[in-house]
Amino acid sequence: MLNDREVLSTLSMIKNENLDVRTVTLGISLLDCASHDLPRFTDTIYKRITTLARDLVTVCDEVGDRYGIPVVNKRISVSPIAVAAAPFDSRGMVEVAKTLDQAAKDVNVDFIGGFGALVEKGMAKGDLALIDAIPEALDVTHRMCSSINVATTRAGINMDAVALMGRTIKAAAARTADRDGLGCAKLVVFANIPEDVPFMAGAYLGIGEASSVINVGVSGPGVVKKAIDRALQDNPGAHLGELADVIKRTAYKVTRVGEIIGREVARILAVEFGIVDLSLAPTPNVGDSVGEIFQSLGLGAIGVPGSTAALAMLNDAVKKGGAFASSRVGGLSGAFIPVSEDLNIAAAASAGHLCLEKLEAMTAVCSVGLDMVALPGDTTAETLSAIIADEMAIGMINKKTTACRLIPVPGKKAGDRVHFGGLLGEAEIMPVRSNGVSAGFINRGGGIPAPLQALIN
Amino acid sequence: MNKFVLSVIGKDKPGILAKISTILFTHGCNIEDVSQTILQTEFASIFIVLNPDDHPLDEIGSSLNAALEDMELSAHLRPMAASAPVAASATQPFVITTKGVDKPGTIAAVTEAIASLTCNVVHFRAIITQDDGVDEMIMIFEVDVPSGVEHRHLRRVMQETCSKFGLNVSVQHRDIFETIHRV
Repeated sequence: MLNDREVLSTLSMIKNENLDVRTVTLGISLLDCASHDLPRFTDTIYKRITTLARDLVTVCDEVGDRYGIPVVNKRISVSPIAVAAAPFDSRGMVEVAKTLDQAAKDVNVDFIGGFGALVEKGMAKGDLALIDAIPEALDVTHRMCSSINVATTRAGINMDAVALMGRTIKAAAARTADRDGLGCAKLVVFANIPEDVPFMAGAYLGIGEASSVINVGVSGPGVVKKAIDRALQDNPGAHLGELADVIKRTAYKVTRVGEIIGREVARILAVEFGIVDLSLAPTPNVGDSVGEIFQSLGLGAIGVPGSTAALAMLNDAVKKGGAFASSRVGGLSGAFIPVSEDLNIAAAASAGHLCLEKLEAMTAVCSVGLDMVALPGDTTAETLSAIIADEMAIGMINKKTTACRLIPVPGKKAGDRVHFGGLLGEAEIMPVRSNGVSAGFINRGGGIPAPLQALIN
Repeated sequence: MNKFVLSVIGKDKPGILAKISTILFTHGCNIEDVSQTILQTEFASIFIVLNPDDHPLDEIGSSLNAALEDMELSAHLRPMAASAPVAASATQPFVITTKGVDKPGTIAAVTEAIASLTCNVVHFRAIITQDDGVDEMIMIFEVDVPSGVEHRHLRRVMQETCSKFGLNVSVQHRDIFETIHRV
């Protein structure tokens, strides 16, 4: 017999605190579709994706309905296209991108990820063709996302790739200038990219993964915030250790939801269940914000002094609760701080509490990086690359994932507002200090060697 | 072996179970199963009792009622028919929760709707809470839903019924509650 509290608190989490499963992502390997013949390749991958994902949306809705938990997004990740489509030139890569987009549209998923390359040590022919194709590919598609891994702790940072990505981001912004550089909102540069991320825009299916796999991204910043508020209402003198425990217990509950939904969807689709990604993923809605958690913990806003410590505690507590709740944890697993996608973080940036440098510092202790940061349109390609290099260095040295999703908004300057729409949200453009003075460093190229794994201070 | 069902209801106070079990013991009976609850000030319990010496139920009942009368309690006994175990039909456990202002006829209508789909209520609780100074009733039904009944259909029927009474209703598979709250 259930007790009343179990039933009522579950309903309250769903109805008042935005508890949901943020994404169920079906990973599909395309490696065995390889062909040197472009029409044959696009035809094979289209059939592979639309066959395997045919029932994804229906099944997710059905399972979500049975448990009363909304599955907000259904998505697909595929093998890195730079590998699967290695024989093709950039024109061919754009055709592949269009095929992926069409397949996503035809099975009614909102995003498909995997138009990417792993170039932390060097760039092969297919990698260069894919990166060259990115600006056009992001312009002519709607649902396709791209990610490029340019650094790992074991390989170091490929600075040639970092320089290239600065130019690519500028080109993608220019091609989508009429949409405030929207193309860049679907392009991420990574260090230490996990092979099983279910979240966009970084989702792809790693080389070491099975043919098809279900990965789940949970959410629940609103649930965590309300749990902290309730704990403080009951005990206004609660210290941080007690609040960390509240976050941990709440993360457990949130993760269990992802686990049950993911397993059930995988069972019905007869696909292997992969991982639960224990991330606190916000949306641009009040009550579904990571930034609000900082205020509940006693900070004036996210970005003020104390924010890095609060984020470190939050991130760790989420992992501890989540790791216990799920048999297989993976992906990014931590708190996201995407500026435009979180109403509260965007407001803190507008009010001057959160600047690019503080954001960068915070990414040393959270799960992603400089995410959905709108920058002035005149930010140079070299300065973009330099910002990326800094972020990659944090990931490389700290043996963690970091990423950059930077949008240099054409024709706009710091303080102007941009609106990307939907989950991508809106934000004020952050100023970039010392723009245009990093070219000498970036243009040297080469690579930053992998760090020592000892002498770690 | 002879069995009987015993129910005892009345004012709650310390010592009820001790009194009942002592009397049953003195009649050579053995309690096989028991469930008890307290609603507001009222005690209610149901026992399944083994009666190996086949004591007359009238006699046991008289002893119990004589002892319990002073405690403002009454006992009722019924012989339990020995029946062949019924093969359980395939069901799925769901939880139906309603919330809204308490109005006469609500429980009857909601339980009628559940019964019309041949769903069996296995646990039911109603709780009165205050929302902005207004008394609201939350009803939690744990029901076994025959596998032939689509949960979407169940939800639709429940929503149609509950909307007539201004109740919010949710229908969820029971596993979600256990999954979230239990280790």
